[in-house]
Amino acid sequence: MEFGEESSPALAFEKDAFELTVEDVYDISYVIGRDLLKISSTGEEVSDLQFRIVRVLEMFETLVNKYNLSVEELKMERDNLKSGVSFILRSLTMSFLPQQQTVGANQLVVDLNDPNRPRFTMQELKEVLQERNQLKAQLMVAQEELQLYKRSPHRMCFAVFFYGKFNKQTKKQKLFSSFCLI
Amino acid sequence: MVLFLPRLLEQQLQTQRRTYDSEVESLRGELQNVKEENNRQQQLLAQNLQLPPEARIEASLQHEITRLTNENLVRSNTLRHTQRIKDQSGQTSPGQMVEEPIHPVNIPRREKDFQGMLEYKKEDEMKLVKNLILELKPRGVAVNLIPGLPAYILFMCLRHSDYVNDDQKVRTLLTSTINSIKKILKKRGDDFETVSFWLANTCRFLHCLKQYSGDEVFMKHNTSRQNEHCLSNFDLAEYRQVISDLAIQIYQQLVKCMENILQPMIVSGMLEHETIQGVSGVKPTGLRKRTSSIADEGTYTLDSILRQLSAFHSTMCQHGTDPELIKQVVKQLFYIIGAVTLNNLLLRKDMCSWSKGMQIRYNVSQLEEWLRDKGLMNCGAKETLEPLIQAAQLLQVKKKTDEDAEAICSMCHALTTAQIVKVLNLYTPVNEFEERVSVSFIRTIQTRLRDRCESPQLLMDTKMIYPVTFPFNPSSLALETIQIPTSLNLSFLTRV
Repeated sequence: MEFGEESSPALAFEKDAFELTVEDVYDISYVIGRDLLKISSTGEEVSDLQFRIVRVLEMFETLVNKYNLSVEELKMERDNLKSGVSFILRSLTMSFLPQQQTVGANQLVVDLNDPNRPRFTMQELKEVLQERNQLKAQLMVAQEELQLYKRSPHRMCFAVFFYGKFNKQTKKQKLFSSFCLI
Repeated sequence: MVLFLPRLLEQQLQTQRRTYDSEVESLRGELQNVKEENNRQQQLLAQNLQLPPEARIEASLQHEITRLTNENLVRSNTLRHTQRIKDQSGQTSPGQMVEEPIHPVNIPRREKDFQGMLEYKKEDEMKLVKNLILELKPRGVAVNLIPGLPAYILFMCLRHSDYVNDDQKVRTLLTSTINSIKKILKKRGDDFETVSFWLANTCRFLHCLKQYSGDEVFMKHNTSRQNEHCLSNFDLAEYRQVISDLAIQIYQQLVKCMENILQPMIVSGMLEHETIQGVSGVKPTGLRKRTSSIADEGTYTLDSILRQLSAFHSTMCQHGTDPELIKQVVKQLFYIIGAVTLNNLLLRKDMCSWSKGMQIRYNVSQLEEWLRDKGLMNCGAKETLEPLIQAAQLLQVKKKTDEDAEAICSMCHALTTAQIVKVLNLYTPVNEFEERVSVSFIRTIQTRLRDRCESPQLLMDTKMIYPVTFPFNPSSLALETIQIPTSLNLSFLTRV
């Protein structure tokens, strides 16, 4: 069983440079100090070196601290910006894209600007067609009458009179009735 | 030419005026110095007259020595300064020699020129104490690389005050130091790191006071250079006593601090948590088959205790605590662990079974393994666990016959009769084949032990603290090699 190896100060040396904290710098200081003691217990031979190392480690401490703080700040800023951007994107999306709404069963989506869009109901269509058929039939009768008038001009008045009365009859009946009169 | 005359006269007048002003200034300064000197002399005379003749002679000799030392210091500084200038320029101009101000000059000197002292102005004392004690963090580059650095710096300041024979400065420095340490301990007394840091530094300061006292007893391991650094004017034996008392106070505070941290872990880690598989009795307590430091429900295990002990040990080493002191701390901690565990066992029936005995013995062996790992086998810690060990053994041995009774009585010498009887009464068999301890057996034990004279107290005293000592631990560090790291904000100190 290893006792407290996780807390060993020497572990700081194995960390990645960008993962260091100031606590690691202090652990490093302790280990280096111990090593220097091994060389010179009085500090006489290594004194200048020792205090230059202290100076360098102090600078290192400042840098590590600054780095970590900067990373934190940048992360926060990035997260803020990210949420801002996604908010803006959502707003834009809502106003410009067509409504691709949920279409139920048996429903039709119609563009109101389309000139060929359906406009009339079935009932309206039926009425119009009936009226057209009537008018067409009347037109044909009128054309036949006209032909009669063109062939025998002096007999036509009676026929016209009778024809006008019996305009509900069929073509055949109308012709026969007009011949009978003559 | 005529036009320039008034201007010329004016200039001359101004120059003369300036000359007179500066002369008056310097004369005034001189007058002040002379007055002060006069006052001092009068005071000394007055003091002197009150002393008996022998003391008078001694006092005047001492005074002479001080004066000469001061002059010597000044002279050697001046000499070195001019030496340096000579070396640099190749020649000295007569003007420089004469006009050189007579005061210690702050220029970088070579290593062997330093005398291992730190000069500071009286008005900077508050700043010194503030930056070096009150606001100093117990963890930092400088203090981690050179354990005990604050103590050395304080001592070097003290040495200078002693060297210039300023008894007031010495007194105020020591008083401020002691008061500031007390203040920081009051303010952050719950922080283990702070308390440990100042215990280590106070002890180091105490050792310095002894090592450089001039007492031969403490000078055995000194180099000749270190002997040169001994205090020259003042005998601070009384202050040593005050600081020693302060160190005892800090030690007790440290023990309380560590105890508070360990307390919630002890019962859970030593008794309740079970690590031995298949040994638990009919009514299992705690959690089974877990070896992680903190189990799912957040209870403490033996591993938690060991980790915490390692953390304590590591921090104390980093602070430069004397090894002898670390041993005493560990012994005290083990005592607390043993006492709390045993007391708990004596009050709970569910802890008094054969399997619990097994578990306790295993845990104790782990603690011993930890001691071995840290090289602390001979610190007396193991012996403090003896009552607990014997209680665990008592849970496991046979408890039926007379021979058994005799064996128990000879084995449980660290347990009181009350404790033995309690354990036997509480003892719970693990299965239906085993019987409870018979009343007659317990009576037998009591009879055998009736001649013991001991307190009827059942529980161990968990508040007891072993008296602490601070064996002299001189340092080989050469004071003249010490420089002041920038991060300590002590730029007003001058290396001498």
